[in-house]
Amino acid sequence: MKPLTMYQTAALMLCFTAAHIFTLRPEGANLVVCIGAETAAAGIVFVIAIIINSLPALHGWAGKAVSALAGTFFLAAFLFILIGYCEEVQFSFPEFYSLPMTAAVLAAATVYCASMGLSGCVRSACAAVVMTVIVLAVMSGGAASGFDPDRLNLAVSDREGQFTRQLISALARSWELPLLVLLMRRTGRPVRAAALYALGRAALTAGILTVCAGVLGSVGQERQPVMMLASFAKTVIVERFDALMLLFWTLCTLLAGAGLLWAAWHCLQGVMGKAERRKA
Amino acid sequence: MAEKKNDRYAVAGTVNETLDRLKKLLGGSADLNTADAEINGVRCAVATIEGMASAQLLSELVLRPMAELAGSEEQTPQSLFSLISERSLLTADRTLTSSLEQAAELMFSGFAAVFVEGSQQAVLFGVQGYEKKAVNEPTGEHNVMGSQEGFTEVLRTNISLVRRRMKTPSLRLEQLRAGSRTGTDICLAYLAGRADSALVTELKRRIKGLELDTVLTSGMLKPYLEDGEGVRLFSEIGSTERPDVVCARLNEGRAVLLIDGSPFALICPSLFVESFRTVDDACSKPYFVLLMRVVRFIAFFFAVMFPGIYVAAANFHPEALSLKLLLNLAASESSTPYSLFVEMLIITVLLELMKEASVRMPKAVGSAISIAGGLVIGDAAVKSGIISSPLLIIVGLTATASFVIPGLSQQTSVLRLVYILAGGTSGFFGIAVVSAMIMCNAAATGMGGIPYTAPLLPFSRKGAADILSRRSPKALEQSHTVISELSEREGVSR
Repeated sequence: MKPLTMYQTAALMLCFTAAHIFTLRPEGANLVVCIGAETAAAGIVFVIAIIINSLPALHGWAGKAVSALAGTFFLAAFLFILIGYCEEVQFSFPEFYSLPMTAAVLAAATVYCASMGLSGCVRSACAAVVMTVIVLAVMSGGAASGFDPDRLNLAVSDREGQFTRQLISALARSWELPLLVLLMRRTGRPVRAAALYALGRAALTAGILTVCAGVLGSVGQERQPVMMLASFAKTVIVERFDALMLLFWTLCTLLAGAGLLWAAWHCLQGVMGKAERRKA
Repeated sequence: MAEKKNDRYAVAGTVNETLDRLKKLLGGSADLNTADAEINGVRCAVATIEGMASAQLLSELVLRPMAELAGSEEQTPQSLFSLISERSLLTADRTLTSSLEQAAELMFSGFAAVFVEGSQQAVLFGVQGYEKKAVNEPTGEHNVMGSQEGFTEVLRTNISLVRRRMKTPSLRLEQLRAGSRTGTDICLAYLAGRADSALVTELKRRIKGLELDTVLTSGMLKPYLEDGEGVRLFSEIGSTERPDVVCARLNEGRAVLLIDGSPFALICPSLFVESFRTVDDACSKPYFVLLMRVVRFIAFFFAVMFPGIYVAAANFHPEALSLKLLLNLAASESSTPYSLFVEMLIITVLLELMKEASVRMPKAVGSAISIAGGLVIGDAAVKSGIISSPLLIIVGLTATASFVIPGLSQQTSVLRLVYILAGGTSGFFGIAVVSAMIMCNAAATGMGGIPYTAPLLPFSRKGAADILSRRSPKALEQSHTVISELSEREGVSR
């Protein structure tokens, strides 16, 4: 079995960040605190992943029990991400998309993508992340003329409270951590892959939070600030076309979900005793 | 049992018995021609299959030289057989066999079998002379400045077309056979030292393991050579009818399969981005090549996604369209009985129908389809208010774009319909879902560790530079791209 490249692992993990970024909102008005908390969360995830990855693999009944537990977690995480996405889409486009229909279509498509194997998912994830980052950069560039540093509210009090809330929020939505550990065990350079992911996650989150807060001000703390920011962008296609964001949002969510389903399937194989043996 | 069968169809000691066995083996086939004669008192017979051997070659290369042996000193059957089979150069293409089944197989390929009284072996001489099509211009891969020669249905001719362009001893041509009934000859070509030996071995293993009764077209082999399981939208096995393309691919370290009876060679492996390259690119200026390749990628986008995006934007996301366009659209749609989505489906199915008709119908009535399709159906449909004019423009543009990439025409037709269905029922959400599924499907396709989507996914800087531009011959002189360079250094298993 050939290992994954660190870019492929990081890309699949960044799909989770990219999918979440469209609904990300700061937990407080002080931007620096929020960014600091997000960066700290990325660092904590990185450290936990390294620690778990260094633990010896369990065998026998203990290994099967861990596989069953992890498989259940992956399925639960998939359902949470799926339902969360569908609710947000329904909020954005209430007249077009019903929750059950969107969930059914997305679930079926995710199962199909996962059935294509990990190779298809990670290669597609690379393309999806690059395209999403480009679109977000174009959107941010278009809205940059409306950026006002005063809106960053650096002087707001209750910094500790904001930091804690943002950190808890960031860690609570780190569904991808067990998947990161699983992928690290199949990656050629696992520590670099995890570091690349943590850096990418921190940079992407901090960048979007900064632009949203700087352009939107207090409005940036409302639901789906990125979608709102798009309408402030001076780039015509981004400004007029809400669904452009939907395209990349769906793409990243779908691939992230496919990664979780693949992991659940992998764990099921572990429970059934068909897991691949790692080479020493 | 097998031994008995072999005995029954072995070359007998007498010519009469051998010919009887041969006739029995072939079931008294009407196309078996036999002629016997005596040379220096020894009875000999020549057997051929009518239409497969050239009468002129048979006469000049076998019969006449054998007649001249009449004056030789060889008097015994053994010495005469030895003279014919070993010491005289009647033709260079010569095989010995004691099995009539093997002799028959070679006779079906245009060999003449010579039997000598008292000898339990047959000598077979290659005097192929069956009717064949001349080397013509390729029908599906036209070009302006490159070679105008295309492959034919005859394997030997195709091999010679390749060999003529690659005069190197490292060009390996290995003959294989597939199809238990058709016994189709297949030639595996590759450059030793450049092609991946594991890939070559794997291809040979797969072809030898084929259990097909018939192999009549190159397409019948494809599913057995492809790596993936399940439905793959794209194929990692490319095909071409151009010998110059085959030579270029061989030079890149790929393996090529030439199949007797098919004018299409199979290229293993093939990449997605290669569908956007043409032979003319090598003869054009780099800036023109850049322009043309961008145009081809845009054409692919138009052909596949544009109708779906149009329906999705008009039905679900009208904010994407300008006010003037939206008003025009609303005005033209108000006079039609069907929704935009249904109209688009109808006209797209009609387009496929006309394409299929133009491929299948006799050439003599070719212009009739243009008139019927373009004028009668298109014009009348708009005038009668069944279809709106903007829609016809979209479909016309799509149809034109789809002809730009002939290598992906099957995928283009199917994916266009899928995108229309997705865009018409779910808007951009559907477009995104379908795009992700297609991307995963294409990215999961690959052969011998080389992904079909390389050098984009996974990204290779050196390979990616050739996607939109072409390297100058001077740069190629420095280093040639070899396909194995695109293999994932740290790949993944399925």
